[in-house]
Amino acid sequence: MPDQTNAFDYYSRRNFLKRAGLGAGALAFMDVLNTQGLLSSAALAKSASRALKPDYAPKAKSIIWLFMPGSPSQVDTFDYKPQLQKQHGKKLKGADPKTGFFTTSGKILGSPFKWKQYGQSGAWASEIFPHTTKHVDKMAFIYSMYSRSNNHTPAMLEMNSGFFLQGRPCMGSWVTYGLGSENNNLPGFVVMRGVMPRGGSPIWSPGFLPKKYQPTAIDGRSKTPIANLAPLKGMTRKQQRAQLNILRAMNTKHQQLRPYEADLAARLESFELAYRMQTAAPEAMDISRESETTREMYGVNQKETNLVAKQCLTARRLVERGVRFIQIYAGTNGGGGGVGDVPWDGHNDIGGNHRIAAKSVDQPIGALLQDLQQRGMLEDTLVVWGGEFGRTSDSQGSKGRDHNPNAFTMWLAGGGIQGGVQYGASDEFGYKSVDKRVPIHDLHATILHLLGLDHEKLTYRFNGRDFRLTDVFGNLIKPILA
Amino acid sequence: MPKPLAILLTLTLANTVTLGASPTKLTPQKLQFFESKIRPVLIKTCYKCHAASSNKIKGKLQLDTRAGLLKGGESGPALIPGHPEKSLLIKAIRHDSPMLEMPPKSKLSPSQIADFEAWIKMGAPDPRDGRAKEIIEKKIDYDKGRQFWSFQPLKNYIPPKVKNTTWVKSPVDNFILARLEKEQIAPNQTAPRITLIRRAYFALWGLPPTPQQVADFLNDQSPDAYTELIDRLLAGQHYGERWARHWLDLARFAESNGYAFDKDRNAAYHYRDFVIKALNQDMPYNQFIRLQIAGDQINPDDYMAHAATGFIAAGPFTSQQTQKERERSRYEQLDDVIHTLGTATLGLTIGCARCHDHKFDPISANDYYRMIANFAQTGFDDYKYNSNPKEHQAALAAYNAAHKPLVALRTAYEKEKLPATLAIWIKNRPKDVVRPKLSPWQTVGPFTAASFDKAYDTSFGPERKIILNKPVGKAKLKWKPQPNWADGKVHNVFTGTNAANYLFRTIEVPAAGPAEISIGRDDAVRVYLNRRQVLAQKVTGGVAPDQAKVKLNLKAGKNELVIKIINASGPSGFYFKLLDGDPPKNIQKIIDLPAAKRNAQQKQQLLKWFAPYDPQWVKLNNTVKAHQTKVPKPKIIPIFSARKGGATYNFGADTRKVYFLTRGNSNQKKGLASPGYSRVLMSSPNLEKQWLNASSKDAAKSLPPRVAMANWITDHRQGAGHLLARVIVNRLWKHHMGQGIVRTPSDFGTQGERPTHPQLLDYLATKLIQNGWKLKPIHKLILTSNVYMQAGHTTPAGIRKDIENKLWWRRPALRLEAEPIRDALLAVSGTLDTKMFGPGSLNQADKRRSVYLKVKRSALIPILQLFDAPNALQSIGQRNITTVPPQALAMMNSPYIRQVAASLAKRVRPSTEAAIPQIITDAYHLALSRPPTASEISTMTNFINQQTASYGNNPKAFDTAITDFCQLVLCLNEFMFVD
Repeated sequence: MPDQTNAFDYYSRRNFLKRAGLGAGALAFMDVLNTQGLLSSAALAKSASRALKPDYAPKAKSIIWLFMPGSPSQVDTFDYKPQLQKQHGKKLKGADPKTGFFTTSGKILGSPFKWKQYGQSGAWASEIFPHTTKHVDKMAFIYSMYSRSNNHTPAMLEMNSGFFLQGRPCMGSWVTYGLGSENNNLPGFVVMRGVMPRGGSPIWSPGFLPKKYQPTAIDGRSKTPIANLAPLKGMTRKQQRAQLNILRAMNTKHQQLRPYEADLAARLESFELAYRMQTAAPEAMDISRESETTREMYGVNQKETNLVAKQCLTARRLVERGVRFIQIYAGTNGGGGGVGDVPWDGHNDIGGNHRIAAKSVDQPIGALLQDLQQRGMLEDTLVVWGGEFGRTSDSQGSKGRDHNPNAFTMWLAGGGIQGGVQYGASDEFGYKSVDKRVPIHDLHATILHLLGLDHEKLTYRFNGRDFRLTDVFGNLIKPILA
Repeated sequence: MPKPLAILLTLTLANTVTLGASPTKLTPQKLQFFESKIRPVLIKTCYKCHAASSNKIKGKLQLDTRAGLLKGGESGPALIPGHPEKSLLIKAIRHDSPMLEMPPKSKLSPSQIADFEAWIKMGAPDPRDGRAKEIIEKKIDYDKGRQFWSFQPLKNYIPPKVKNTTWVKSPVDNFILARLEKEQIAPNQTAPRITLIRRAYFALWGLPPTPQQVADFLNDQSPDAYTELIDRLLAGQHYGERWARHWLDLARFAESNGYAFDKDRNAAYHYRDFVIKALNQDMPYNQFIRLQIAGDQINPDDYMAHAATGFIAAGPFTSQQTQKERERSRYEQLDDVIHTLGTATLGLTIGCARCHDHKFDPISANDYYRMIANFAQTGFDDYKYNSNPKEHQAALAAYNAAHKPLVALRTAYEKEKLPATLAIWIKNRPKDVVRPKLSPWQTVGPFTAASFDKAYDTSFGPERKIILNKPVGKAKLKWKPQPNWADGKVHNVFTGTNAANYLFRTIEVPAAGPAEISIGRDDAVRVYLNRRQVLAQKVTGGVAPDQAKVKLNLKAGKNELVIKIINASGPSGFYFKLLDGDPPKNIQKIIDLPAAKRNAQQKQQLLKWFAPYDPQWVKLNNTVKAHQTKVPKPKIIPIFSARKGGATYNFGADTRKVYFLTRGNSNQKKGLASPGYSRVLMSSPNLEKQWLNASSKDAAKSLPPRVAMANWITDHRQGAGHLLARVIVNRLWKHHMGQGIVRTPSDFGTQGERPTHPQLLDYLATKLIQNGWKLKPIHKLILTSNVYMQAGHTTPAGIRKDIENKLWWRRPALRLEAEPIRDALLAVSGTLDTKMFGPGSLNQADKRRSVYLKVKRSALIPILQLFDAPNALQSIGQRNITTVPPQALAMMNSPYIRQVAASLAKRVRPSTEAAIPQIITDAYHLALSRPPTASEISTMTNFINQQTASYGNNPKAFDTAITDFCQLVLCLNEFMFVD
């Protein structure tokens, strides 16, 4: 019962069709394909009916999403609000003390950081990102983001899948479903993390999409990041090859008697792919192949930045090799009220928390942007930075900030983004997004657009309904596009 | 700017503004205000979505006429003239509610907002005439809706005539063959027996046949051999295990909450056991469904009925919720219930009618909210089921019978002996109170144990014997005098983790008599007087004065008091004080009375006080108390299930109510929803009352909503039962044949596919009902048909005319699902543990069948996930089958698969004498249910020899090569694709 979506990996199918010459009518190929046992007609129909290529020319081929779990405070990073300093300690008009997870004081909390303008574009930023801020002219800032959940896990789910409950596919899964990967020997969608972020692996779940669209999740602290990649102990490559040769011969014979069972051919091929992955994946992730200068630039050699530096450098190597979607859950926090799984969650002391968290990501991110540009990769690599929501402008306790879904800042850079743009605004205290408000669906629609996908056309039928990443919403944020 | 506003406000205040719908009189000033301040803003920011000219009028709200404003949209009137605070328009432009923020992208300036407030305050003067455009609401035509194929009543079709009657084995074949003959496609012939047995075993048991079972079947000359095989398989316990997994997919079954903290539901496995048991006993499918919706109310004394409601309880639940999320989450929970119920049982996407009427199917939003209202009162938690009420009652009666005489003995003693003892004591009582003499404390410790419990339970010595100058126990610890430890003070003096320290002193009195002490402890304590335990408290926590009082019966002379303090961790200590042994004042008064003058009540009081000081009474009392600990307790089994009043998100007064919501938004309620059903699935809408009030003589006293719903959904004459039957027979067909007769098994609506053989579908559904809704006869009907039994190969005609095999001219090979793959690995390697039921393991290396592995949402079993097991969040009627390199990596490199291969290797090479061809043959029989061909034997022999040589001098070279070979067999496509 060949399920049409599974006849072959989508990307392989696509490459195959490319090789076969897509110009002729689909029917003409059916025999060719069937003699090779690669496609059932159902699969072919599916391929023909769904876009085999992006809906339009993509601006970005790959995406690196720098996710700051726990959520940075907009008013202590990039959304400058001098009124907070001026009116520190005064009552915040219209403040809802139940905005976040706990109860806030209703009193304005000034940012503990020094602020200034950077670059030609004059974007404001606090002092905690000395490296990242060198690149503000490459970035488009969105100051008017808002979301709907004031709780980490639902908000992370919303940021990744557009919906605050579990079960919907995350964006990386949608993108690999829509576009596949450029490299058959590597996974198309990779998640990198340190401490497992709050919410666990369901926040990057493929939901109801087939499992092939789930990410390969890599714990940056682990020595064996991909399961079962290393050949068995005691078996040499030659011995394994001998085993696989027989397997291939036997499976081929079995398949030839059943030429219309497409899964058989796919599985036959999958052993060869796996065999190649055994060498390709470790190579791609081996940052010791980088020069000392490069590693130093990222901060691999410093304790505070080591983990994120390794992740960012690996991300660049993966993008070079055609990996489509990379999400890094970035930030470590060994103090300042930070909790490992939500390192940016500055409830008690926003200053202490953010200094440590920012230190852990700043140099690696700055280096990543610089490295991508130097290598000419920034043009078609989209970099996205942000948390799952914002933080309150009034204080929690004396110097902390609670969750605030009503306003936060994100920035995008690289593939298809117009640098130096400052889009939307929060109110004068940074408490609520007020001008050109951007819901998460719009961000998703825009990112899909940059990757060449029309968010209204990228659908999947599940339990009788066509689902979209953007549900029934989503508008492009045109002013940030190049 | 401030000036005109001030004037206007004055004006407004001076004017009594007309309230209600009739707008205020237009004055030139007012008109000017509207034209300069209001109309431009409306045009610029609102008309795009809220005017007759809009592409689509959003929220059915029109702001381009006065009438449109007053009439309002889905959420009600946009404004109430004179009352800005009550006007939705103002709430929206102020962005007061996150769900209602207009304009959506950017907020109006504060001065613009003030203008609108002032304008409404002055009565919302508005010169714009014209009627609001009639928004034509598409009304659902249910009568027309019922014409759709799946909503029509079942028709009883007679199997059509066919030409090739010899091909027909079951009436099912007539339906299939008639169509094939019409299309001039010849179906395949029956597959060979060696294929059929493997096909049938995996279909019904999810396990491979053993070589012996294959041989027996092949040698069975009886023409009924195959039918008997099917009967045997359907009667086997493995049938329920295999088919339960299909149902558990639909039920999004899991044993944890999901979300960030993913709390375990350790009592959720009962639902899984219910499904297995119900299938094995062939519970009628209508009853199976009824119990899953309302078992707790249909049959409250039955284990199966309670366990069954795990179906509605199985959805995810997030325990960490902010106040603002709870109501929204409750509606999500109810949506999960109705969505699961709808897709799993009726193949209907009821959930799509949540925000608006269903776009394609005749299900209204009104239907939706009335359907979820059936569950308004329902919550989910561990129901404490009394599994043996009768046994418990019997045991209790026996206990009481044994207990009574013990109490009687004590009562008799209290009546007959105790007064005399008391009298003697009073008589002999010294006139002057003599204080007991206490020796200084001696201590010994700490005695460490493996655990706190062990430290508490172990006798280290002093409780039995005190010899102060001798070291104690194996640890040889010495007694230490503590002359400075004063009484009446807390002493935090002890150390040790999971350790005991002992205190000892003597209490000397000239004559026997009562005394009382007050003690404190950190953590647990035991007190012994003259080697008899008088107190035992297994507690933890810090020490304080007077945590416990102990009455002591002192004998004349020296009494030995031992206190054992048991510490879990951290500091440890004690407190001690001797209370003056004098009776309390009220008792003293009675003692002072002459015996004759004490009334009955006083006598009773006195006896009660005295009794604990009387050794004989204490002995009798201890016997009573010791027996009391044996009181039989009911055997309570927690079952994670649904019930009225069960736990859910709590958000106050509305927690157990369901409202109609605008666009599914719980901040926009439109009135209370009462229970009801999908109108298209009733032969007449008037019938609804009949189900709600059914079998109740008192019309006002209606059935519990879930019970009524269960009746409606299984009523095949007037309710939804015909669709229920169609959907389940299609699922059976789908699992046996690879595709359903309806190829969208969870969508029988207009967006789903149409049945390829509608008459066959109705035939099977009708048979199901005629057979009392039993599923096994339907399985048999399908499995004994030639459609099922035919070979899988392709033919040129078939390919040319029906490449997708929609007409069933062949029965293709199917890849096994994750669970039978893992189960087959266990079976083939000879390591399968067939233990049924009960809590499962999270360890994929566990040896029981996969259906018994625990389903924890954040820790799903890797090997099952790899082969497309569902994530247990939504109902799944058709799994995706993917083929990806990580599966191959696992087969090649995972220690798990290697271990299985090693077990198989051991099994096929029981001794060093075994010859290679025999090893190969055995492995093929076990793993593939067939003998190897000559060429396979030769290829594999070469392979084994080569691998052996490649391992060189390693003494395990040959064993390793056999394992390499076994692993290779398990990697064959033939192993997991069943013809």
